[in-house]
Amino acid sequence: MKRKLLPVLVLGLLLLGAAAALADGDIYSGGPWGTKITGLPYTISAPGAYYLGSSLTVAGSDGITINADNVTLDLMGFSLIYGTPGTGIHSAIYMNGRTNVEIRNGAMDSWSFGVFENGTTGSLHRILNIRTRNCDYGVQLKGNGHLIKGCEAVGSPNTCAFWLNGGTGAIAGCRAQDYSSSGIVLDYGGIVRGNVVTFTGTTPSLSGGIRLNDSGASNFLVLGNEVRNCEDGIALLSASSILGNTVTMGSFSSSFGILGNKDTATVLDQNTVVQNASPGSTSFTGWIGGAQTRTNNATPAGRF
Amino acid sequence: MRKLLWLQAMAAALLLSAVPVLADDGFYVVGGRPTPGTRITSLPCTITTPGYYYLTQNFSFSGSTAITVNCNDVTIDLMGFVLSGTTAGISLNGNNVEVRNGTITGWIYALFGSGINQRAIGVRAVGNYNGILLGRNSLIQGCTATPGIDNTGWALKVTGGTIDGCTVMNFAPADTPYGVLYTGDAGGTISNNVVIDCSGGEAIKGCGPTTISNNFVKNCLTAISNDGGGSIVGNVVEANSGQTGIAPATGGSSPNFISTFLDQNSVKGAGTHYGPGNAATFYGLNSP
Repeated sequence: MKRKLLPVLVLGLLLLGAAAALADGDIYSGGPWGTKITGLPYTISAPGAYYLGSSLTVAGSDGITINADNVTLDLMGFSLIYGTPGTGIHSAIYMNGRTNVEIRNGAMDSWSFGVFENGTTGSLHRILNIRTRNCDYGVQLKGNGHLIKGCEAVGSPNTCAFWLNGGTGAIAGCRAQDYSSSGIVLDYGGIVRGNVVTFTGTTPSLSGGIRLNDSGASNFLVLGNEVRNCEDGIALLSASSILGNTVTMGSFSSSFGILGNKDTATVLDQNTVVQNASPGSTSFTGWIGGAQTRTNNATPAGRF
Repeated sequence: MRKLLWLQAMAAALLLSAVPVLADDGFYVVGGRPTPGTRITSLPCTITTPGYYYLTQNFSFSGSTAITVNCNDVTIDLMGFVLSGTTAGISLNGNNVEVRNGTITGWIYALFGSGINQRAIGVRAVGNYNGILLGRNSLIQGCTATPGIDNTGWALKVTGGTIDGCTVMNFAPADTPYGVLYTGDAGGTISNNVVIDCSGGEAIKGCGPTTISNNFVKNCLTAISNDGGGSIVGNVVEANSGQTGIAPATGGSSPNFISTFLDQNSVKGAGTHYGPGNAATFYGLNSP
């Protein structure tokens, strides 16, 4: 019996090893190695690699507080869950002025903030493949040089999915759904590339699917995004290159496909604004704004 | 007995199907041990056999070079850990070598390669004098770099190849005419990067023919330049007073000027938005 079981187990292990060797991608997480987080609340106070071994729940506090730089936190596909939704203001993962923290590969449910960097000196965080549900803010990062990539935030609705608050960086390949203020917000310049922002409700989004604020000499690249059924698809209050985006307008009143403002340095090219429903008012338009350079863009009213 | 064997075989098959789990964006998780490959347990470490090597802890090393690769066909996975020290973090002397997934900090050279076809993926080179410098036809992707003891080193450099999706802050190379993100005379592509506050240096520089696209550059002495010509497309730049946004190649002579095409770029700020270029500089749709 034991002799016959042994080859099967050996075969299983060999197959296991062979399968792992096939992995090839942006990041290979070959763990679990490092420090396993087994309960919440938890504070990380030293650099290194940390990971979850199961989904974890807590009520009345932040989930994981990161008080060290140079940290990698792999959720390993598991979830951080807030146990008493709607009570208190707490973050699944909280930081204040940290540098070089990578958080990846898992989910967060029912928090005020999924990932929150609350310090303006925060820098170079990488938030990769994180999914948030029912969080007022999916990922909000203050500071500079952050990257949010491959993430998803679904609200019910909630306030804002992804916000580089007062700083710069890039948001790429993310999906934001049902956020009543804005899906994606950048304040001081950066890149918004390849994201999808949608709103499935009937209450209008207040500010825009993608909102680019005018905070000083800010400049933005908005490339290859899709925005659907938001009050304003792309609201740019500063200079930008707006390239190759598709905006589908909904039935909200006073909606704009791409809303510009005062700046003269905006480049619009290869964008399409689609009118998906009868307008709620006469304010529907593909583009509104000040002087700009534009060519080869399509709107319901024709090319602009 | 046979039923039991079948159950064991099915269990092995289930294990196989669950590992690795392919998530979005080329992101893989292997959910159990043993990890295949060779574990690096002490430093200095010299790799002389092709294969897969990985860390399972942070390392701090005060000698000359922490990890040296002296053969081809090697993958080093830092597994999210931190490699810190003083002189050289990882030295690559082979071809087809990939380093990925961790932090390298405190070194004069964080990651230095002298071979060809090398790859740095998801490496966070923070607080080093020189960040990631790879050989010909190499790739630096999804990496970050900030300076250490001073900011006059190089951040990211390939001698022909690709720099994609990286973030760099606060470098100012003293060794002009080299850039913070730099392709050598073999050219290449520099795309989707964020470069911030390199106010004493040239941020993105293509020495050979280079495609420079979809980058964001803020507050750098010269944001984008291409001595070797090429396409400069879809970049956004903030150029402050005394700074230059985009400086296309000026070299060559009639009828063989070095040519550059600029399209869909946006430059803002009180600095000079565009350099003069030459007779072979062509402009598409750019902001003023």
